[in-house]
Amino acid sequence: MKNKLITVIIIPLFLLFFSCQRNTEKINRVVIGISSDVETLNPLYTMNLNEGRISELIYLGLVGHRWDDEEGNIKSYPLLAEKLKWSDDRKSLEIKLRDDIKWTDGKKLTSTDVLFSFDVYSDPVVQSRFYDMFDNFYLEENKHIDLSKSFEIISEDSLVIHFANGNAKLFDIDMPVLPEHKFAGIARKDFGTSSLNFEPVGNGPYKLKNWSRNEKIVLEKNPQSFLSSDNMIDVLIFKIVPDYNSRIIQIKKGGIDLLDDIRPEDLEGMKAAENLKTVITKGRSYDYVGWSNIDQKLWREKKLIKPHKLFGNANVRRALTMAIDRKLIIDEFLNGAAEIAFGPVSPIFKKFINRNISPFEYNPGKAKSILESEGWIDRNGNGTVDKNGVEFSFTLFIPGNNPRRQYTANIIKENLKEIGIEVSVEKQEPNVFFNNMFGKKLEAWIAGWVVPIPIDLKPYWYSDFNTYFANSAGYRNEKVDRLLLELEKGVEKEKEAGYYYKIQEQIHKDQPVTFLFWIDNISVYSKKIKNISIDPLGTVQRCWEWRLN
Amino acid sequence: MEIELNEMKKGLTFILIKRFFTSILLLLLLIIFLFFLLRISPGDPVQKFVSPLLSPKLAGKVKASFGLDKPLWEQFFIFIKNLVTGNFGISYQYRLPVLDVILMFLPFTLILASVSFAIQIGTGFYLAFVTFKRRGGFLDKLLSRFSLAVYSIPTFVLALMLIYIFSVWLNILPPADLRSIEFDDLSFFGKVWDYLVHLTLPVLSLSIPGIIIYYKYLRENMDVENNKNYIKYLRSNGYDEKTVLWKHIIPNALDPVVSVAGIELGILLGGALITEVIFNLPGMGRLTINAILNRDFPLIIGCTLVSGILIITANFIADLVRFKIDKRMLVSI
Repeated sequence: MKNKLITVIIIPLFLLFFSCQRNTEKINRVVIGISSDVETLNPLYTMNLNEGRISELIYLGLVGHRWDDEEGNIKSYPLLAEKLKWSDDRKSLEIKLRDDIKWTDGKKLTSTDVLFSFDVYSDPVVQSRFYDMFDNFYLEENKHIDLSKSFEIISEDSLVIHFANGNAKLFDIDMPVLPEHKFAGIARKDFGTSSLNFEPVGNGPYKLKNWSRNEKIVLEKNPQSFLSSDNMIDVLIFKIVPDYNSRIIQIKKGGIDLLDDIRPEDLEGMKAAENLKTVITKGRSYDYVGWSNIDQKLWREKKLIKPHKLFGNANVRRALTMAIDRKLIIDEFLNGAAEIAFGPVSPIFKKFINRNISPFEYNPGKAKSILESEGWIDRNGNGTVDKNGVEFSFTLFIPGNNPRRQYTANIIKENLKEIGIEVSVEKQEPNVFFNNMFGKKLEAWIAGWVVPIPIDLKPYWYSDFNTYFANSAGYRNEKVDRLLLELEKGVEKEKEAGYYYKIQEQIHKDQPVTFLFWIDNISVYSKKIKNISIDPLGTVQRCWEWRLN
Repeated sequence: MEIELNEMKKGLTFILIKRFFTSILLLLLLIIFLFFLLRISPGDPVQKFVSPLLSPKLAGKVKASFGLDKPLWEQFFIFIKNLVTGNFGISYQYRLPVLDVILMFLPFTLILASVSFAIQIGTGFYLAFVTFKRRGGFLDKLLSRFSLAVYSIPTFVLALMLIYIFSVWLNILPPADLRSIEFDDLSFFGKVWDYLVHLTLPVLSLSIPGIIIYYKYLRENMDVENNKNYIKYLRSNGYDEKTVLWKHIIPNALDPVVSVAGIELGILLGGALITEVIFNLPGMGRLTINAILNRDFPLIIGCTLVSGILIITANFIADLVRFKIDKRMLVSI
C-alpha cells in the first residue's frame, strides 16, 4: 500500500518539481505594484491614475514634461514633435514631427494622425475624456473642433494649429496621438467598446505584451521607438494587488520592485529593509473639512443663494479652523508625514505658494471667543452653543473605508465639543458620498483633492456652481473670480505668481473650507533600479531612462 | 415492486420539470427585483466622469449612452427585451459584453470552488469516519475539543495566519497570486507546479472551515444514528459492523449533510470574496463586488444571474443525491 502511495503521489510530485526549470535568468524587468486593474488602455477613455500612467508609456503626445524642482513647476519639451514654433501673436503653432516615429504595427506616424486625434478627442459622439476642453481652438456648436479653421496640414510631417485666441499653451496640445489607420473602420460611437481598448497600437517606448485581467499588465520594450535603447528595462509588469498588506509583504519579499502610496505607519519598516530605497516627496493631495457656505437646499431647489445658517459666516469658519488640532492628526496618525495646509496651492508649486501666509494656530480659546462675538452662546445650558434658537449641531460626513478620515473626524468631533459644538459623524459608501458632495447635499464633510499639474484653481473655487460642481462648499468671492478669469486668459509670466498669492490670501481670509494637511508621498523601490526620478509627475514617468544593476 | 419503481420515475420527472420552471421563475424575479433595487439605490454609474477636470457635459453624454437618462419604465422594457434575446448589455467598467467579462472570471471560480469542495467533503468525511471508528481516541478528543475553535476563526484571520506561517516564517509558499510573474517562461510541468504552489494557501484557507462543518455534521449524525434502537437491534441480531456502518448509519447520517453541502457549494460557486482579495485571485467574488462599488448595473445583474444559476444547480444536485440515498422521498412526493 505504502509503495503504491509513493508511486502514485510522491514520485510524480518530485518529477514535477524538478521539471520546473525556469527560463528567466536574464529577463531584465521591473514589477510595479498597483491596487486595481485598469479598464482601458485607450487614451480616449483613460480616466484614472493607473490608466494614465500605463497608456502614456504606450502612446506619446506631441510634448513631454519634466518637473523643475527648483521652480516648482513643469517644463514642457517637444516629444513626438521635433520643433515647435509659435507665431508672434501666439495664435498659431507650427509643428514639425520627428521623422523616425512608427506605430507598433510598422506604419509611419504622420500629421494626419495628429489631426485625427484632435478630431476624435473633441467629437461629442466619441465621449472622450478630453471632450469640451478645447476652448482655445475654433469650435463648432457642439464643441467639436472646427478642423478646417484650426488645422493646416503642410506635409506628412508638419502642420500648423491655428487657435481662436492668443491664450493657448502647450498643454492645449498635450494629448496622446492616436493611429488613424487603426480606428478607420470603426464607427465613432463604438470606439468605447472596440478592441483597441485592449490591443493598443502605440508609438511609445513600450508596447502591450499581455494583459491578464485583475492580475497583471505586461509591457515590453518597443524597439522601434526613438526612445528605445539597448540597456533600458525590457519588461515592465504592473502587478495588480488590491490588498495593501499583501502589497507590503510582496515588496519586502521582492515580488514587487516599486510601490507608491506607502502609509506613514509602514515608513520605518520600509526604511529598515536593506533591499529597498524609500523616497518621500511633498504631496499634491490634501484633506479638508468642507463647510457648506450656502443654504444647499435653497440652491438645489430654487437656484437661490443664501448663507448657510451655521457655516455662512467667514468668522465662524475661521473659528472652526482654529478649533481643530491639525498637528495632532499629523503627529498621531500620519507619523509627521504631512504639512499643515493653509490654502489650495500645494507646497510642490514653490513659485506659486504664498509662504507669507501662516496657517491658523490651534487655539480653542480664541475660537470660542470668536463664536461668542458672532452670537453663538450656550443660552440654555445644554453644553451646545446656540443663536436665534438654532443649536450649533451638525453631521460630519466621511466616505467609508478610509481610516485616516475616520480618525480625523473623531478628533474634530472632540475638538469642536470643547467649544460647544455638537458633531455627529456619519460614514457613507464612497460612491454615495461623492454623489452627495458634488450634488451639494452635505452640510459638512471631510474629503480630499489631488491638485492638477499644471496648477488650475478655477474648477474648485470659481462661483459658477452649475459648471464648476467641484466647488462643493459653494464658495463665492468676486475678487477670486476675477483673478481666476484673468489667469485663465493668460497673464505675463512674471505676474502669474502674484495672482496666485492674492487668491490664496483671500481664500485664507474667507476659509470656505478648513484646509487640513498636504500628505507626503511615500514611494519605495528596489535598490536594483538605477536612474529613477521620483517627483510630483509620478514614479513611472520617463521609466525608459531606468537601468538595472 | 414494479409499481413502486414507476412511481419513483414519475416522481423524479415531476421534480425535474417543477424544479426547472420554478428555477426560471425565481431567477427572473431575482433580476427584476435587482433591476429596480439598483435604480433606486443611491450612487451613480457615471460618478467617475464627475471629475473637476472633466467636462460635466461629458457625464451627461455618458449617462445618455448608458440609457440611464430615460424614464425607469422605458429602461425596464429595454432591459426585458434585451434579456429575452440573451443580451445582458455592455459592462460600463470593462467596455465588453457582460457575458464575455463573466467568462473571464468564472472558470477560475469553478476550479477553486470544485477543488475546495472536494477537499472539504473528502477530508471532512474521512475525519468523521476515522474518529467514529476510534471513538474516544486521541484524534477524536482533539477534534471534538478544537474543531469549533478552528471553525470560529474568521476566514481573513485564517488566511493571514497561513500566509504568516508558510510565506513569511517558513518561506515555502507564495503569499498571493494565481501564478508567478515568470509563469509564461515556465515549462508545462513548471506551470502546473506554479499553479499548485500558488493555490495551496487559498484552497487551504477556503477549505479548513468547510472541513470542520462536514466533520461536525457527519460525526454528530453518526453518533445519533448509532444510539438509535434499530442499530442496537441490528447488532443484537448479529449483523456485522461493516454492514451496520455502511448500509444503515452512514446513509441515514448523510441526509442533512448533503443539504448543507448543496448550500455550501452554491456559496463557493458564487465567489469566495475574502480569499480572492487576500490572495489576489481573479474570481467571481471580486468581480461582483467591484461591479457593485462601480455601479456597473449590467455586470451586477449578470453576476447575480450566474451566481443564482450556480446556487440553484448546486442545491438541485444535492436534492438528487438525497433522493439517490433515500428513494422513499420520491414516492412521498
